[in-house]
Amino acid sequence: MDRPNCTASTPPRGSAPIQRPPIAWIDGIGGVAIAAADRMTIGRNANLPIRGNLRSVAGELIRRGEDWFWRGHVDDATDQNAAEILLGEGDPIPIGGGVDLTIHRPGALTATRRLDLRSPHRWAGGVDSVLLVATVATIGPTPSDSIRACNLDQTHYLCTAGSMITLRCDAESATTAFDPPAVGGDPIRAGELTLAMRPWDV
Amino acid sequence: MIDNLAFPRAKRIDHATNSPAGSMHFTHAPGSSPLDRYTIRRGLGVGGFGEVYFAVSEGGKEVALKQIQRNWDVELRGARHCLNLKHPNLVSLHDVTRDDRDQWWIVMEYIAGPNLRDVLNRNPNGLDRPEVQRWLAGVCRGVAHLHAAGLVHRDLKPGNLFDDEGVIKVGDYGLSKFVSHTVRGGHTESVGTFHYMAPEVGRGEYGPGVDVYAIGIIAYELLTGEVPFDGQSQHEIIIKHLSDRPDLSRIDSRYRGIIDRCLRKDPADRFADAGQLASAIESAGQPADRPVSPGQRLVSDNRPTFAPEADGEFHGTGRRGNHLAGPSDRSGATARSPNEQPVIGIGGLLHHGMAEVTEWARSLSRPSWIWLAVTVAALSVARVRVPWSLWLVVGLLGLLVAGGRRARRNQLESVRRGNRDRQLVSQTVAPEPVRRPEPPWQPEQPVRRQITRSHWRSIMRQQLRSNRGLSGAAQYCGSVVVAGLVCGVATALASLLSGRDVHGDSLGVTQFVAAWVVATVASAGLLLLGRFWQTSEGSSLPRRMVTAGLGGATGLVAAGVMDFLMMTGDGRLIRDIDATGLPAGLYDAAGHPSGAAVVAYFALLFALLRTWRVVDPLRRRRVSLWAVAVSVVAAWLVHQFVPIHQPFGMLVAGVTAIATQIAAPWVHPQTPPPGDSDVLVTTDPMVRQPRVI
Repeated sequence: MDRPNCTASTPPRGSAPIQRPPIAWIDGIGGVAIAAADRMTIGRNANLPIRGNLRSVAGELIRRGEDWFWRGHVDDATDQNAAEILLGEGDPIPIGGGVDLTIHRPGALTATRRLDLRSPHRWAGGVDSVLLVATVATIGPTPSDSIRACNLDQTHYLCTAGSMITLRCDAESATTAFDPPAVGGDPIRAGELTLAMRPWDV
Repeated sequence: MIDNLAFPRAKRIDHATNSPAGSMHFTHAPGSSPLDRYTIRRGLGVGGFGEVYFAVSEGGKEVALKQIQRNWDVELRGARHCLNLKHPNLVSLHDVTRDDRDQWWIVMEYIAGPNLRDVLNRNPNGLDRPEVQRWLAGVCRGVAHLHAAGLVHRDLKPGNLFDDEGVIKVGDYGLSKFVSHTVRGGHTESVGTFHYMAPEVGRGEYGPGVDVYAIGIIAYELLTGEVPFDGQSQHEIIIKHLSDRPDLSRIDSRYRGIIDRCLRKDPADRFADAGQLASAIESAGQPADRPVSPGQRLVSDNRPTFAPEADGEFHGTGRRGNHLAGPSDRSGATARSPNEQPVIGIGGLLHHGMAEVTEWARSLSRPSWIWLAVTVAALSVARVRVPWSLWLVVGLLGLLVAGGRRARRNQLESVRRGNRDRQLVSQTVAPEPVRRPEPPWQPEQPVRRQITRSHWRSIMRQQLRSNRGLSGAAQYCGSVVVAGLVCGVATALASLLSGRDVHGDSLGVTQFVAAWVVATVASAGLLLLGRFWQTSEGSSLPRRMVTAGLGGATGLVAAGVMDFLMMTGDGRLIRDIDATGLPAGLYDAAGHPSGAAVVAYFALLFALLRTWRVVDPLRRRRVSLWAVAVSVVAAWLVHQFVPIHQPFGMLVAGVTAIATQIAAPWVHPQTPPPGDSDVLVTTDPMVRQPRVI
């Protein structure tokens, strides 16, 4: 599957703005970054920005097949060959600065991972969580859903295909532009959810 | 974590502000700016007063925007009272403003962290003690600030308490109001959430005690994961708030006295305000808690109430409670062994018996006036045969037996509690707390999805639609055969019990045969209607009209059978209530009923009863004696206006009710819907009804 590649290193001054995954603002649930790229940096000023006392780019997440690896501190001026760590279920991602970031694969049905950030640190821009989507992510009432929403009665599916994302629930489905999201696009609805895709503005 | 933000699915509570039932769609879309200078990111929730959004100001400040859509006067008043309050444990209100369309908005601090409802949903058995202490201390400090400012929150509940990066904050001032020190009542609108609602709220009293009570409930829930007063309906919960004492045996002894005092029914018996409560909570959280002195001992009565503090401030002064009594116990209660029980005299037994009967009457799902009517009717019928003195003796004996059973049950319960409390005391006085080993890791148990009974019924009715055709016809035939057999057995039993054996007078034999035939015909008709109506709930009036027609047909059959068997009246048309004359044209000159009278009798009877319920496959019980009793009483009632031979009419009514229930198909109420076995059918009204797609 062709996935967009986010910038994987600190951009030099004056370069193009950092690419960030779009955010699905889901009413009653939260703001979820839908990250479909194979490589993404994490840091104060990275593809996945975190508010905290940490490096501008603390490291890089790399997808290989269904596995995710972490390579720390990939600043241009330092060693580009830092060791990669295979990230397993619930593993902490060592990004430094006292930030408690973990990766989870809630369900076995989809390879989608979720990045959880523990208080007091937060993702920038009011984002609540980041999903490293693998075609399909689920939103539902059970712990095995990518996003657990106890108020829902049914599982809803977020399916990414190319630049489009589809929200499905039973026979209902709605599709909208995903990457890049349509600026000012109308929210889509399916089942019990209303979702609007917006750029991740920090 | 994202699931921190998720709303609870109706475990049971907190729907006044957080329920997204049918409200996940918000008025304003992400990216819109209904209020100048603020851009909405997403909807947060919908409360009783309006929608709440997460928004960002032009400068990047994250805020929560509440659009007041209903009761704006109450909401605005509450918000304005609190607008300039500053306290680290209170959610800050930034401003109250209007948009271009004259809509009112409250701009307030956005809390990204979870609320206590989310936390409790993830910890269904309650939190550990340090966390409990952290939450309670923060809440008490915040509410104490409100009370000190002369305000009462009035809607404290887990959904309104937030963990903002380690700082506990009290939010949602939608219902706050000033408290007059002279008149604390006067506000007759019921507000708040039932599980956390103090008893006096029903009387329109909103003093600081309302908040103290709510904090007591929250403390109980923090420690146990459950609210002390729960029920299947709002009415039941309110009744428990008004009358029940909380079961504090599961509460950590440090908090037991505090919670007991918070949950007193009389607000004057509680802590005066949250400031006092905060002091008590902080004392309870001290690391060196005062152990129970050896001189103290447990005094057992009925319900546990402990006083962990020896300063007299938080004494367990429950009228019938367990409390730690030292040598200077102020209550003056005589110490006795937990297992020692007082001797109960006849008066006590009668008192217990009345309590038992009252409790039984309360537990009935039917309105009490129906029971009253049934009892009066039954007594009216019975008085013809039995002298009052005998009824009095039987009633007193019944009360004594019921009282004895209740007293025995209380004794066993008391012994059980006493044993448990002694264990608690022995743990408290132990020099070193016994630390339990860390339990081995266990996989998370799947959460059983709950659906409401009405949702279950709609699913099952769809399923019943498939039961048609040949298999449906075969099932119907089988039901009719069963009904016929049951009618035969029941009428024979009734005939024998009434002293009219088959070798007795001819009237007994003819009534027995006639009742068998007529009840079988009526049952067959009702079962047929039940098959047609089992796929929908239907409305009452059309069904009554149809069943009245069936009753008329049954009457025709009855008249034919009576004529065939030459059932002539023997003077049993005497009515218990002889207030009306016999309808003209239905009776001959001698007062004997014609066929039309029998038809009218059964048509009226069937129109009066909701007979389709006893053949509904989704009825609550397979056989309800209540339905049988109602049928017989209705037959007696109709007899007062259109008399026919009795007990023939009542016999047919009762036997038909029994036979149809036994013969009609029935689906157990806990049967999971097909293909969804992991579902729990609940009667909890708070469980939201899913959309039927």
